[in-house]
Amino acid sequence: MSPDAAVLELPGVLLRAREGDAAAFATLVRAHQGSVFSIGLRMLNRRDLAEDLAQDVFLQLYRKLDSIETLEHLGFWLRRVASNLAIDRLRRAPYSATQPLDAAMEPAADVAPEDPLLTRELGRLLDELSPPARAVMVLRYQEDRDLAEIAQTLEMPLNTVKSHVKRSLTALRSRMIGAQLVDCEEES
Amino acid sequence: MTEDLENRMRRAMRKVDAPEGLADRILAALPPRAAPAIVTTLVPPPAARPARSGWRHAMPAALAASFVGAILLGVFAADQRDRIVAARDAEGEAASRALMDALRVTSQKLDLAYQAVNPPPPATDEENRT
Repeated sequence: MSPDAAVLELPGVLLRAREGDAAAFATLVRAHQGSVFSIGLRMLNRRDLAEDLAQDVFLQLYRKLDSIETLEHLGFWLRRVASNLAIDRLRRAPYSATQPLDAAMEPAADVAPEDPLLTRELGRLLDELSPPARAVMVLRYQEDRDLAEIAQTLEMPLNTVKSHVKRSLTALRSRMIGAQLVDCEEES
Repeated sequence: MTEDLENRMRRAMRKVDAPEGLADRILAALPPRAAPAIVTTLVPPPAARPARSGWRHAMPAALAASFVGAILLGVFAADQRDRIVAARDAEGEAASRALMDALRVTSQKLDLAYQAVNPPPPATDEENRT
């Protein structure tokens, strides 16, 4: 059973967490830590920074828990806070990402990417995007959110979100074609 | 092509597992939460009632005092204004009188000057005879 499903099957877990039940809050953290950590990792490109970001996000959640109304609201709130914190940190220290992206992009340390070319080029592309454009791509393809929700999450006009996605996809496609040509030349 | 690329991106960008023990570290770093406040309805003790009752009477008294004070202040201000107006009227009348005196004196001086410049003609013989 996935952590998300476990949370959904626990009626009132949010209510109990709001009432100060530490175990209920721990359940919420475990259910959402993967999502928050992944947003941090893909945005900041370093595991230690992603961990720090996750800690800050859940600390804020702990303080603002009374304002969270539903589990859906909780997910939205976490994505918004994690994205905005990551954008802020990238703007403050844009060159702090030192770890090669290829390693960070892998779903897990012991699992090889099934699409290495795309993974490599996607990682490089994300590294070159502006922080808001990077957040759009992370929310779109990692979190699988629709464009309207991304616009709401990042407080950005819908057309800007569409434009970020379109430009990023075009750039990625060009990169992949170029990379394939280079690979073909190297093989021949 | 785009759809295929998007699906490949979703697979390439699937969520990463959180590091081992992250949740525990997050929970350990949380500050202790304040216990929820216990809300109890307090019945005011009998001794407290006179004070509250006193306040209830003090408020209208204060309002009445303010009202009377405002009226007195208004009367005083009106009286002051009347005095100032009366003083100005008196000054105006005095100035008017001084001006009239000055005009009268000037007029007399002018008459004398005119007579000095244009003396009356000398009496004729006929007149002397009569």
